[in-house]
Amino acid sequence: MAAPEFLLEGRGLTVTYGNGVRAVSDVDLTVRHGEIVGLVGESGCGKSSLANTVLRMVKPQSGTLSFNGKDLLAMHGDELKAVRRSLQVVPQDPSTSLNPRLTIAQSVEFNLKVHGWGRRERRARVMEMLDRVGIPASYSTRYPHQLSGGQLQRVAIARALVTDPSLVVCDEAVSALDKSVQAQILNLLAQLQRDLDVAFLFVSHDLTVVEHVSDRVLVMYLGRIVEEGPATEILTAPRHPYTQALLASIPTRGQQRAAIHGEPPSPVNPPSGCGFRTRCPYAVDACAGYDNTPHAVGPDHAARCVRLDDLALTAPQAWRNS
Amino acid sequence: MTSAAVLTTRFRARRRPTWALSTQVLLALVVLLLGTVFLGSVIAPYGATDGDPANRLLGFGSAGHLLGTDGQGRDILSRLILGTRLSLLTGIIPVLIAGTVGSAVGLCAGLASRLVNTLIMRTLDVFYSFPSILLAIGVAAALGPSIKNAIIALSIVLIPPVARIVEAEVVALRSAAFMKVAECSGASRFLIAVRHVVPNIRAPLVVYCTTLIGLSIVDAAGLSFLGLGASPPTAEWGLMLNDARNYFFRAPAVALAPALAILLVALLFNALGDRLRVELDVRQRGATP
Amino acid sequence: MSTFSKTRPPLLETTRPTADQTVLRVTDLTTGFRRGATTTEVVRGVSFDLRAGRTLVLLGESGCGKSVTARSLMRLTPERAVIGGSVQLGDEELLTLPLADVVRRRGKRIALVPQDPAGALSPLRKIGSQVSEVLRVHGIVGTRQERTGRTLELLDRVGIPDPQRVAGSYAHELSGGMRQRVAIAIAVACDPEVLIADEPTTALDVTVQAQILELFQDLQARLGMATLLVTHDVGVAERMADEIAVMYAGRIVESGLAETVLSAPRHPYTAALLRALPVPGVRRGELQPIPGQPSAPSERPAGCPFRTRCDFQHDACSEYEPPLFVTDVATHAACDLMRPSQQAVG
Repeated sequence: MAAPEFLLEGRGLTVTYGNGVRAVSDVDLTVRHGEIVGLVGESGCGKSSLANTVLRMVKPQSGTLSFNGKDLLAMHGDELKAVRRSLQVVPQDPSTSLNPRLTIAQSVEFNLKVHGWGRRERRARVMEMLDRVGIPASYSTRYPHQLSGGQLQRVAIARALVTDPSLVVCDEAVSALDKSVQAQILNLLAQLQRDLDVAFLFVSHDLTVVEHVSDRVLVMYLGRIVEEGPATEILTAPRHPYTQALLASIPTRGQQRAAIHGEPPSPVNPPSGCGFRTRCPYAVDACAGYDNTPHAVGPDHAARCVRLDDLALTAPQAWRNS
Repeated sequence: MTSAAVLTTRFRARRRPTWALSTQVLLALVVLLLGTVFLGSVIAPYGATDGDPANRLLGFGSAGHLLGTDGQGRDILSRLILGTRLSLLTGIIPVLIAGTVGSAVGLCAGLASRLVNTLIMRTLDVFYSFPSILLAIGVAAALGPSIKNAIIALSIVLIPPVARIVEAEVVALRSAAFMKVAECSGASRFLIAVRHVVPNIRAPLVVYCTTLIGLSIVDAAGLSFLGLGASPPTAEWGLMLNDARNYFFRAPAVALAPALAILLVALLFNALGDRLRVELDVRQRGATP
Repeated sequence: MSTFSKTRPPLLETTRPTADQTVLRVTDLTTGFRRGATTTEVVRGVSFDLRAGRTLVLLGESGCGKSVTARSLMRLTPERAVIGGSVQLGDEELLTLPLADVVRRRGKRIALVPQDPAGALSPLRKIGSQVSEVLRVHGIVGTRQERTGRTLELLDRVGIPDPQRVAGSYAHELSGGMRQRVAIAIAVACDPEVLIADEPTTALDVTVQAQILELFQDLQARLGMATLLVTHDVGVAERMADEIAVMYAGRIVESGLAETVLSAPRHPYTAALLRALPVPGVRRGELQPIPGQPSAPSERPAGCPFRTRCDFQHDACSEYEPPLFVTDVATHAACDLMRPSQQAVG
């Protein structure tokens, strides 16, 4: 049997919560083997809900989701457990991502224990992974409060990779770190991806980080993917007004005015048509009736904007000309 | 605190109480208490029921009777010493039972779905709505007066608070990122509970149960006082208080000794709980090894 | 649209400092925290001037002492803090003034915009009453009606679209950006001479951050206050700073005009910090992080605290902790390489 084209393939995913919040609307999400896909958006845009859907922590109302060609949403019991081995997560907050009562070796080991590894194999594997992420063996008996934020995130990465997964979801995995430490972790992720051929779904609010680390970037606003494309294109030639606003909002020297005003509308009661039209500088009447079909603007590059063709959107002022 | 408070008014940090007993003093007191329990019959100058009607209601510091004698001429010091074991048992056993059952219930409720959680917690609330001593009296009265029944009654009374504390801890823990990771790892709920939840609730549970021992001793004494626990002529602090009731105005000392014993032991367990809170916290136990 | 600033006469008949005049002078500020018998120094000998209408950015990573510095200026530190040195607001020495007098100046002459407006606003009182409280406490506006009017003006001034409605809401009903605007309104309510903003946009989304930064600039242009902006974000520093002071291990290691410091950093830490950023053009996996992490105050190496992570470490680095030397680009850097004799050689 030939391997399916996509490691992860979600189509038409929609997540609605009990309180009426439609967190994710009709999202297509694909990740190829060994690919790093970035998912960027501001707080409340639904990126965490989407990540949790992929992790099977949240059940979508509609849509399909397959992992390695198998229907992830229909799985349960042992089958789901087996898939979880190859589908891991690195959470955001280093301070709670490890159990404070377990040594870091025990935390990493737990994942192996779940999947029935023997004691001796576990020990060797844990040490190997800690070494790979740059944690000295002498640290293995330490508790989380004895480590710095960067070290904790290294351990969290080791824990995610210890079962040899094929997809790791990084949910704001570097957001809480200082920039100098963040660079260490980003380099580590890149190296691990090269060495282990593991795919990452890299979720973050920070466009520069996402662009740096990803092959492909999805930009999310109010539950929808408004633009997706190769990382460099998203950064250098963004087509959706929201992506452009995101880029132009990154603070830099000489910047005077804010790119866009106001704040995202409530996902309980989103505007009709394009969700961004209430803040968009280019909004016209047609935006309210837009059915959110994506328009291809290049190979592998698509945007959801009704005015893509008639609007010769000027490229935003180049960000940090270094 | 409003921002205006930050900006304009004096802000004073609350100081921690400075009277807390040191660990050494607490341990010494616990050893003393245990010594009394195990060596009671050796160190007590008289038997628990050895009455001397000629020397009734002697005051503190009487010759041969350091704490005086009660209405039947029994040596109060001896009865206090010999009653320690029973009073402590009625304090500790209900807490052990309630601690086990209550944490199991709390753990289940905390990890269960919202519906099951609601069911369990609201049921507990029904018990919770009675004042604890009233509930204990009701259960003990229904079962009939005996020490065993008093212990059962107290155990039942203490389950809801323990369960509630554990449930709150578990629910708070569920939002920690490592719990999400554990769920994503494919681990069963049982394994998560054993490996990730229990180690994190152990410390607060032990601390809380230690302070409950004090409460349980007071409640047990209360039951005995009302005639629902130990029966005369057993040496038991609550029962001693009950005896003393008749002579309260003639010889207040008779009531004072058991009352103080109950108070001090209850305080001791409270202080012990506070101390454990610090000692059991990995983070406060010293940074790097 | 806020037009009141053109028509309204100044509320305070005080003599405002003219542009570029030094308003707050910090000299050799040292803040330590007592723990038992030992005192851990978190801020060690920090000096800078804040000038009217100018923004000084205090840039540094977590634990470098930048927030403690900011709070020490207003004596908003916990009781166990020991503050030394000098903080001169106009001709008053804030560190020796009785605390009650400093408190009276908070919010009036020197104001704070906190990092987390959610924690700084009371959840139980309406926004309007929290804003007008500052006006009442400082006795700025006489009658209740005047205060209400002024509160609405203030909310309008910070760009809140519907001041009437917001004044009647509670903090939890507002978004993070709106709450930060309210906190700013409270801070500027009494036209302070000095505004201290402690990571004011860290908790906000980037599009909202841009709006808040714009607001800071507008307010400064209009009110002419001296601003101390504390941040860890190089981009925010770049955008906002007239001058910049980079902190590491409790000291200012480099300072000067923002443009110069950021384009020609002379301290290896500043240079390394700028290189660590994921900017376009750097290939994946080829960022240049700073190795290791800052050491805790209790285990700082002797000599230069950065030397264990520094590419230019040499013998002299462990011998003394370099003071700020004047560099070739007229900035100041606390690095042995900038020692005048070294510069002559190099």
